[in-house]
Amino acid sequence: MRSNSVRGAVDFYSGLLLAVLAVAAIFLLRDLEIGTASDMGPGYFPVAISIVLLAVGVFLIGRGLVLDGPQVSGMNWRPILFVSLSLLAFALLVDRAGLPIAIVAQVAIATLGSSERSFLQSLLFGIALAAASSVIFVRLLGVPMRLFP
Amino acid sequence: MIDVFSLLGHGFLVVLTPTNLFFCLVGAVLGTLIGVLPGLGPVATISLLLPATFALEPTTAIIMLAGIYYGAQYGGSTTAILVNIPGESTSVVTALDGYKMAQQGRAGEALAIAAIGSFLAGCFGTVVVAVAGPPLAGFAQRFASPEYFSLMVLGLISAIVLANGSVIRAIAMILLGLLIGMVGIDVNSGQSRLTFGMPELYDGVSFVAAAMGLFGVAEVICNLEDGIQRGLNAGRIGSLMPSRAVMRAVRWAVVRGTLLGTAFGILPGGGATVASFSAYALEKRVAKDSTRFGRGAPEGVAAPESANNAAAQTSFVPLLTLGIPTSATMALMVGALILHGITPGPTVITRQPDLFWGLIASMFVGNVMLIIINLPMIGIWVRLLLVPYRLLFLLILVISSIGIYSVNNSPFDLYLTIGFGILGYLLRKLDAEPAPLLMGFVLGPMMEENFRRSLIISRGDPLVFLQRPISLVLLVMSLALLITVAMPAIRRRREEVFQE
Repeated sequence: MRSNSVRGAVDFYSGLLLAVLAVAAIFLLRDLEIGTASDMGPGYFPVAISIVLLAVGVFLIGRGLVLDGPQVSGMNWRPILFVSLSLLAFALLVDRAGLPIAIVAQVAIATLGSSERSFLQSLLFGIALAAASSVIFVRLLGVPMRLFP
Repeated sequence: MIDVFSLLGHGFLVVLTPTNLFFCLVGAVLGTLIGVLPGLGPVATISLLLPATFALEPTTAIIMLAGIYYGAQYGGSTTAILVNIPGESTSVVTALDGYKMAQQGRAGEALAIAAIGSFLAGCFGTVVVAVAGPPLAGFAQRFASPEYFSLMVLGLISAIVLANGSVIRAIAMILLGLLIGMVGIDVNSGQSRLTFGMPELYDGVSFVAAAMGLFGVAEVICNLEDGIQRGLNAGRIGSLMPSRAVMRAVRWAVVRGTLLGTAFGILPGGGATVASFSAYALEKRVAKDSTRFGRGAPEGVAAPESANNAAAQTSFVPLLTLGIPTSATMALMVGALILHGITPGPTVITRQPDLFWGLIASMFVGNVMLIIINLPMIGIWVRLLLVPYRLLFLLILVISSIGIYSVNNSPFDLYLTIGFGILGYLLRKLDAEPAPLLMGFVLGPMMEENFRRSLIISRGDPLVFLQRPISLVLLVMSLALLITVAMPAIRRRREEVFQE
């Protein structure tokens, strides 16, 4: 996203994000009845909001193209990728393999997202966390979760 | 007045049960803890612990969650003063003069001023909640749908005006939040909206998943990217007892900060952060010699710390009397009340007197606990700063995952959280604050409901909002707010305040 071709990149890309979301919402809502002000259908309020959101998005796109503004600071893909993957791993494993394995897997993946890595220390910490959570949440607080595969 | 005292007495009876006292203490300790730890704020912590409060009585749950919020105001100042890292956004300005005082060997003095100011302001704020709550709720019982709709418009407009950063972005975030709030089955027609045919979304987007993603996960990602650096360099804390002269010097700063914070807390969209920034700006303005600020002026610690704590208490006024959240944290409290089967609104005080008066009494108790937790036990909290972030973020992720999973005992909400985490990260990259989004998300369904009902009553005539006097006044106030923010002179002033 480090682009110098757009004058106000922050405006441009946030406008683009909002406009895309608004258009997607309008598209998804297309089958719902709009109705009239006195007899509003389920589509009335959300479509109205989407249209205003689209207008704001288009305004920001325009401002980003015309006026100089702040650029988007560089993105680092590591944290966002590994943090998301670590949550995904937990979600996929918790019902199948049980809580302790899900936690260790999550910790192992999330550690890769940090720039200062000491894998062994994190792994030990993950095992400790798995043990502590199993005792505190499942045994003491009674959260219904599987402990074993 | 006598009535207030007897009701308050009843509140103390509610709090002084072992269970409630214990969870009040848990809230205060947790609040201090997350206040001290940078990178973990009250919004993330409260959403994290929401599922864990299911097993508790609603009153106990709210007492604990409230304790986390105002406890964080105390804890945040500790790190700001000792290591120049604000533990919370509400303590950003405290670091300016507090850290300078610490460098001059006056850390203990700064900590004591912050804690005493917070305590006095917290008690005053709580009195305001007790005195102003019931009459305001009585007044609000005259509200019908049009009034509620206009009130929410006023709330959202104030959130836009007081949000830091760009006005147009705040508007966009509220709209996006309103839209996300529409997801689910439409109550009136039974048709599903924006659910992608997924039955998990029929009840709407999970509040905990949205809040955890936008705040917890997105903040973790941002912190990992920036790499939080910290080191403990303030060696000695020094005497904890400020001298008489200093106490006299900060006396009026505490009063001004408290009054400003009280007002900002009640205002929709205000909240503790804006209050602390404004209090600092005000002190600088009224000081005879403003060059002392930034070089260790005790007023620069006293005023913002008093303001943020007063605001933390009084922001419960609109929540408990009108049912309208004024900040992201209060939006979470609405979520907590609803999860416990209580609809926030003007009837809470009369129908749930235990909850209202118990919460108020717990604020007094909690503030007393906090001053003890924070002053004599300061050394313990300082040591916590030695926990490296590369381990802390793992802890945050694991506890969040367990919490999100346990709301519905289904991994589906975790997928939502991933989506909201990525959205929250992108929004931060694009200079858009996700706090107004969360407010829009909570208010969305309520606004639509009241909007539709108003127009059914008026048979489609939109003038209904202008024909009812209370509604008209609220809308005129909204318009006035919008005009002030659009005026160049005020806009410049607003930017100045946020610059500092």
